[in-house]
Amino acid sequence: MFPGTILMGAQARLLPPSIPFRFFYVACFFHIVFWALVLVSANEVAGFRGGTGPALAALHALTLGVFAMTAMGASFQLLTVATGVALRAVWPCHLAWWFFFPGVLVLLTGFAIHHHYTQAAGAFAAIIGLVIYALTVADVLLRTKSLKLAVSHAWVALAALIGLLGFGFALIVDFDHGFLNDHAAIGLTHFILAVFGFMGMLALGFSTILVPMFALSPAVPDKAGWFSFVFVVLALAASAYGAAERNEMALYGGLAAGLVGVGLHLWCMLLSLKKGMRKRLGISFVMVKAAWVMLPVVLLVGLAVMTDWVSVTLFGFLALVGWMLTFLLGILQRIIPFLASMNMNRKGSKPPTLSEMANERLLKVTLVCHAVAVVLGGLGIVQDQGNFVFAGAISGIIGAVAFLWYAVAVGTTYLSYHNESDRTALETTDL
Amino acid sequence: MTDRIFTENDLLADALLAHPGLDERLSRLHPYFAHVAEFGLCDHKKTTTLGEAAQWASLSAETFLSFVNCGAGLAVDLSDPAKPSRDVRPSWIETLLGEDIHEIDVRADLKSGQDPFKRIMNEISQLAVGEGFRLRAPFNPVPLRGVLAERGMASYGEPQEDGSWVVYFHAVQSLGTGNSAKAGVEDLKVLGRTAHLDVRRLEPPQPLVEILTLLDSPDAPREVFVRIHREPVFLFPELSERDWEYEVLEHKLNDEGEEFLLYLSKRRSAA
Repeated sequence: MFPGTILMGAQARLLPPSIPFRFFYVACFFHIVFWALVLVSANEVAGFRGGTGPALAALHALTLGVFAMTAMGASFQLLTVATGVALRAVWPCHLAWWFFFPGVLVLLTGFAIHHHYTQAAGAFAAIIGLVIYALTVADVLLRTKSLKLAVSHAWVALAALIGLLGFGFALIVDFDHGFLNDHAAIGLTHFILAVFGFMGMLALGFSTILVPMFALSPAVPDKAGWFSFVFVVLALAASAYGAAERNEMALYGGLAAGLVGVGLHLWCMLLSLKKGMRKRLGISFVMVKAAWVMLPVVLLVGLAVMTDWVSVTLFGFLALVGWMLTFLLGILQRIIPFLASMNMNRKGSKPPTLSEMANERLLKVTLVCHAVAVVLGGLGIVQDQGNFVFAGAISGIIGAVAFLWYAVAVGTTYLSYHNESDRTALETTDL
Repeated sequence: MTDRIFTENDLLADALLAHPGLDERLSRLHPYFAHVAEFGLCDHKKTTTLGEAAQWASLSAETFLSFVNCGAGLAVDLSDPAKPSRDVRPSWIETLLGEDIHEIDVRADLKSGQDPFKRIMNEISQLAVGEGFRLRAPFNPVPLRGVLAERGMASYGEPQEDGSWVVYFHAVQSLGTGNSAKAGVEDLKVLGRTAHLDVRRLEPPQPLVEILTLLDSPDAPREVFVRIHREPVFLFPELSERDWEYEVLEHKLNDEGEEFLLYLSKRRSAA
């Protein structure tokens, strides 16, 4: 074989780069859309309690446009690489994309303009895209013999995904037909399954692979990892049930189990960092660590919501923006150059290094602006002040633009390298 | 590359593994070597010694060894083909002999029809990296040496005047799964610039960690051969970051899945 050759064809684990990158770039785009929608609905966001409108569109720009989009790109590529199990075919990734991306656009439009049929059409397409994604990932998981902890997390995430899709579509239909007995309870269940079930379980599961890999440390302790998994699954089940049935005991139980599970997970993560060979993890891990701090904080805020100390809006904002978005931005800024580098290694000539591709200045802008946006957004919700939310959204937009710029810069480096390699190869052939 | 000179008792597979350019040089001697250069050694030839390989080329062992050692970039006095190659012992033998080396004599076992394999495997299971033992056998135990080489044991054999053989085994790599990176570093101390790592049984991300631990160590080798059971695409960006490059030397599918043999080396411009 040739130097620097990665196997292609049926055994290939690396997908065509356009597949994961289209999901990641569109996630960066929706990140801007999210803050723009928050900006135009700042007063509504500060006291958001549900119902269609730009605030709900903003919420779904984040959950579907950023979170689910990132999850799809990461699962298609990283899961196959990590497990060593190749996708049977690439076309389901394309198909999922062509249903999901337009579906999300239409759904957001429907939410923003209060048009129920547009919402239903968008939701239908997005659901088909997500079901194709779920089936594709499930096929990989079924054939995976290793990484049992991460795979178990992924199974629970897929189960939560199916549940949240069902509840989500029911909620949309309910906007027009009003058949649900308790729209708010189902809405909260949908939220819990989406943020803590689907995205949360994927985040925790992927962390058991990615964090040791980035920190160059041993795998997470087996027992602690499994105990954490059991507790977070119990927490998820209890919370979802408690939310749907308005059962306070189940919700308290879910929160308690969640705190234990999250505590164990964070202990595993910190142990990984402590044992890791790589101590300088950059801005990426400043954000990841901030997200780790936010995770138990979110659960404690959930407890405060139960006792009516704070509004459920603050809980939602901190869970979505404070925890999950912070975590994803931290991981994504690491994954994007990493994936680019993996694909650049297919060529013979020396590719740029990860550090050469990562523009630290842009990442610093993202970090600062995101932090400001979280603080101002949170303050705005606590004080019910749209002005704070508005200012936070401006900061968020600047951070999101810087992040997109960062991702585009990596893509530009990637394309330049390929063009240069192709040109060199042609010249060599001519000789 | 290994610093020591190959002898007729060394395995052809080891020589080819340690010196990637050697196969092309050998291909000038006989069509079979051209086949090896293109497709690699088939499994049942992996226990072939250089002395046996000399017969394929219809050359005396001395001439063939001179050709191999020159091809491997090692200084050999070609003007003296009668020079006894067995005099050149690997340096680790002296280290082993300086310790209280354990000896297993299997001559009586074999004479009474008993298979000593279990006894030998029991012995090696207790060895730590850097330790070894001496085996006395009525013949050159080439298949055993091949099997133990797969498990990270270097070997060196010496024929005795009574026709029996003394073979020294040395653990240059972890025999289990826990500390192969450490083993690699130990291996480095023994072999100078080349390390061999077997990370096939490790769960991700442990193979990546083991390999990079070795590359980042203060006494990092110049080149590393890695046996791994999955395509390590996560590794490749890390190699670029460190100015290393890689080559997939072998890829095979078996009942347990895939297996790769990677050759990692410092980029020439950076070496």
